[in-house]
Amino acid sequence: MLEKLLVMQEQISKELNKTDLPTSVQDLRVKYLGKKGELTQISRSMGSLSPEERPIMGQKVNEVKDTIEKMLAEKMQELEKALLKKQLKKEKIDVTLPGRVLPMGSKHILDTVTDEIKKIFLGMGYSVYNGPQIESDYYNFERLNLPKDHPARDMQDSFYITDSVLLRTHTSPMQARTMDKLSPQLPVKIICPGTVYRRDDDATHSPMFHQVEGLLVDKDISLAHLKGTLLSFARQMFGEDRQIRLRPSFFPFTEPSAEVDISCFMCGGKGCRLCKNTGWIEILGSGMVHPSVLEMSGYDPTQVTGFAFGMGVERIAMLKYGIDDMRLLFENDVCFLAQF
Amino acid sequence: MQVSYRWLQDYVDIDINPEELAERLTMAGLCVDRVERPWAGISGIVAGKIVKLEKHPNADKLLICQIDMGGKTIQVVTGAPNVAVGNIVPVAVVGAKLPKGEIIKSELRGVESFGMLCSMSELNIDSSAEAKAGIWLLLDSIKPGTDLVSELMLDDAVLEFDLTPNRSDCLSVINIAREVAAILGKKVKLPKISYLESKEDIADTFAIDVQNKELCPRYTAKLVQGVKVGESPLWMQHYLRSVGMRPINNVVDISNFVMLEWGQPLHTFDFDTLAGGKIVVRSVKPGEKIVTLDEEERELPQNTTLICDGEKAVCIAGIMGGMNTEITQATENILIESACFDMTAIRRASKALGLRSESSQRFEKGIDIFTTHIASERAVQLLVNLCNGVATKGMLDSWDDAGEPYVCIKLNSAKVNAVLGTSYDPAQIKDVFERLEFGVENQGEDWLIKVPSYRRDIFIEEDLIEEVARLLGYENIPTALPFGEITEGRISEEQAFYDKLVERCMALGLRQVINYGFIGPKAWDLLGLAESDALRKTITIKNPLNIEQSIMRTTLLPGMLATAARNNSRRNNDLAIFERGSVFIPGSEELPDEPMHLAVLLMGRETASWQSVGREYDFYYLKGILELLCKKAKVSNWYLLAADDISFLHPGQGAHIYVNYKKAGYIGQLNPLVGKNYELNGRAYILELNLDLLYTAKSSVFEFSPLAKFPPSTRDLALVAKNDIPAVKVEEEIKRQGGNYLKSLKLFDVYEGIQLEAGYRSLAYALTFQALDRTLTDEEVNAAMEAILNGLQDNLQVRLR
Repeated sequence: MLEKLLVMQEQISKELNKTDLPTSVQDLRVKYLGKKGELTQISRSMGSLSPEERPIMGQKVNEVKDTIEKMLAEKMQELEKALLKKQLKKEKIDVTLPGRVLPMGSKHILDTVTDEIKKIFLGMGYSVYNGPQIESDYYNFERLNLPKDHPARDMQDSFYITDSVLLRTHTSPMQARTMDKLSPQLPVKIICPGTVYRRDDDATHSPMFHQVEGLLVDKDISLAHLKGTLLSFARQMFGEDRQIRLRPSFFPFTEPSAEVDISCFMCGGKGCRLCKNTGWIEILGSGMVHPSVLEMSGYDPTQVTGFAFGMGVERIAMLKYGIDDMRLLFENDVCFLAQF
Repeated sequence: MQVSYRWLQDYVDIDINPEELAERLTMAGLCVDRVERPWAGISGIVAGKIVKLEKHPNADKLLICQIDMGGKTIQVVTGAPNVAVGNIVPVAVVGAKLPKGEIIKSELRGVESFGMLCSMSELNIDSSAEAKAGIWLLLDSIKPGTDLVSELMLDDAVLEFDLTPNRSDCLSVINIAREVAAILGKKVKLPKISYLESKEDIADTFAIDVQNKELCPRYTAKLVQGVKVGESPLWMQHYLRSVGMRPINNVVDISNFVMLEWGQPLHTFDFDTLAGGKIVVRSVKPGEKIVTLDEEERELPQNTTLICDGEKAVCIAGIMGGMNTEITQATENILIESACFDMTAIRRASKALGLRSESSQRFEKGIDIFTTHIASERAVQLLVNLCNGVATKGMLDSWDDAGEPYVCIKLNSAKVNAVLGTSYDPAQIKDVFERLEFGVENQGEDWLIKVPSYRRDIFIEEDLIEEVARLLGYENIPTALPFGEITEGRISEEQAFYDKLVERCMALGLRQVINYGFIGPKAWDLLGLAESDALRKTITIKNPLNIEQSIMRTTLLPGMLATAARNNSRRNNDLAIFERGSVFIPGSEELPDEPMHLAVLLMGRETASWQSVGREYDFYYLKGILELLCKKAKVSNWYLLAADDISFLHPGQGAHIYVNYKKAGYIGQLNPLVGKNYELNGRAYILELNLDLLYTAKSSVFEFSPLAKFPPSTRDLALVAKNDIPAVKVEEEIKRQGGNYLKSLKLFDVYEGIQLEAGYRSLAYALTFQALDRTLTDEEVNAAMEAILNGLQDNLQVRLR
């Protein structure tokens, strides 16, 4: 009997070696281990054995059964693996073909830049305020120390709606509007992004453009604080190794006033085409809030001081992204938009 | 304003080169845009006297000149038509360098030539046709052999300023020199003015009568007799040219020179053409006209100030003189006007006349009344010295209010440091004002600063603080961050809402565009709007750049369509774009309402790839966008009402968008007729939504739905309904009847065709039922389904397919 078992085991091993289909493995299982299978027959015939032999033989039968099971399983696994391997081979693709084109939107570069500016100043504790694009002469000029017939009004050629209403020429009226709202609260620490208009149209001017105004009014604010704040801004916006330079300038609503240049981020200050060989690029106008502006807005200029600045979003976008014609920003060619 | 470097050197010792000077001036607040050297590289130009002139034997048009070069004589062949024996001319000798190239010894038709006679244009001095036409004939007083490069100051540089409006005092070379002196720590050297006068007094024979002191606070007149009109000396011609003015004759040149030097415009009259022995300054009378120096007859606007003699108008005050009293070659006696006119009046008159001059530019920015008489005397000195004139004694002057020529402002050094964030020593600060030649008086803790009258930009202490900052250098201002109370940077909830909407549009595959806030009125006709349409009620710009930018938009649509058309014309036919922007709605207030709008436009299809063509955009694509935007904005109370009356939409594919029961926008296919008007290349789908209304309708609470632990039951429901029953009614009915366990309802098929009766369509829904606390039984779901079917049948006559 024992011999029979071993012969059978040998037999299965041979047959398995010849098999290359999972179904044939299944057939072998039925043939040997099935209800009518050969091993089943053998174990049934154990009844004829003596009670002493029976447990020994039983153990042997189980051993052989386990071995066969293991052989079958191993063969099965082996065949499945081979089959999968074959299939995967068939599924080879050209990974260099382009990927699917998925719909992906884009933000307008001017909004992106405005968001960047907003984020920097929000981080420094400034709040964002918005105001009207159609503005009164009162807020656009008079409250900014620009009475009627002031020669400096020439700096900003305006679109008029009536004699006293116009398209705002800068975001600076928001200084007065916000101070009116917050006075006598301190500090006033705001930025105001917005659309502005001037009567100019060429490669470097658009009749509509965007600015961000900044204002900080508090006790003991100095020009040094303005410089520190703008240095921090310039570094976050244009890179950590930027330097800034203040140049005296004139705005009727600030005194002293300063133009702010940053060291050229293209050449690092050595001089190149972008900075017209000066090493510096003008990015914004700023200054200490003029005492009359504070006074008209309900703050006592002997008690508080402040600084203000205003920057052109288009200019910053064009500098940062190397755009050479302002008109591109408003043509909205999707090939342009898709680049950002 | 342009200034010659050499000219500045007449008033201050400058020991740095023009480029360095430009940098220093810029950093001190007088921005120099450019330093030009128009004559750089020109060399070898020498004055020569033509001593002999003969015809070229082999060429009709050429002349052979023998030229005395101050000792030696050279031969030059020239084609110039205007030379004669005795002329002093500029000769470019062999080896000379001109803008056109180097001069070499040459042979013209067999005759040797050792140089070239130069015209003004060849020396880059004047490029007019007149200057090109002939050789420059120099003043006889110039000696042969004179080095003209230095005599003509061809080694000079010109600084081009971009002055800020407050520094109009620097429309004067002397005032710029004062700045240079302050920056370099030097003393400014003003010209010494002195001349002899004749015995007779002008007051004996002439008078001035200023009728309106407000329009003309000061008028002075000075007489110079026996003047010989001719050419100005070379240095003066050079100075005038360097600032962009053409020399005319010595009298006119002197008046321009003095204006440039002192910033005080002068006017010169031919004294003998003035009638009635007086000058009257008055306002214009209605209908009055004058022929100005540019030979134009001008009708004079109201409120113009006129200078008249005893009979007639002779000059538009501060703007331009009249032809009738002009200086001519024959003029001998000259009346010099040096006056101060009201800046606003000049500004308005110049604007109304459309006439701006060097003179009006200075008056409208304001001039120094304390300089008025000095400029006049300077002109007299030059007329005496350069034109052989004789000064008549005395000056007529309408000004009797000779106050102190300075204003006093208190300054505190602690305040200077507080505003600048610096720690300057008081001595340093004081030194700034001494360099500027401002008076400084101690007054206890403070100083009293006496600001000279020509610095018309300084009124308050802060102005003085800026003087300290700029002269001690903005680069020396320290860098510090503000301290004080910690503030929270905030963005308004409304703003955050708009910003998020933009982000979501991008996430949906849309590209943001920004269009102008103004549009052209033509848009309303292109959109086919009725005359009475509310969108036509716009804010109009009084002075637009052009008609296409003349009214403020009341809808984003025209901008979106123009953008689509522009893209179509560049073969960008697949568009998925959006704009977020204000529109302008006139109301009863002074300022209009500026609601924030969103517009979306789709055209063509999604981008194709090699595997598949992109999905074509249609109404439902656009509506899908709207649904997601509303959902994510937590706005549930919105719906569409189909509309066939929106002129710019397809009558069968358009709807009003209602939010909170208010009309908040529209959605639909663009009417193909409108598309044609805009020259679009295909069908377009558009929506526009008032975001302010959307904002007010949003829910501010977030309702979290717990995830179900028990399995759902799903049932499909294929229905047959009459075509004209809107799908939304069917959905509402299913939801109403479906009970609490109906979790979701999804339309997965719409069918219309031969398998159905005409006039009917099939709608197929997948329904999901689910309870949070247990698995639903078949019976429960069946009951719900039955209720749904009954409801549909009873209320809508919709049956199971």
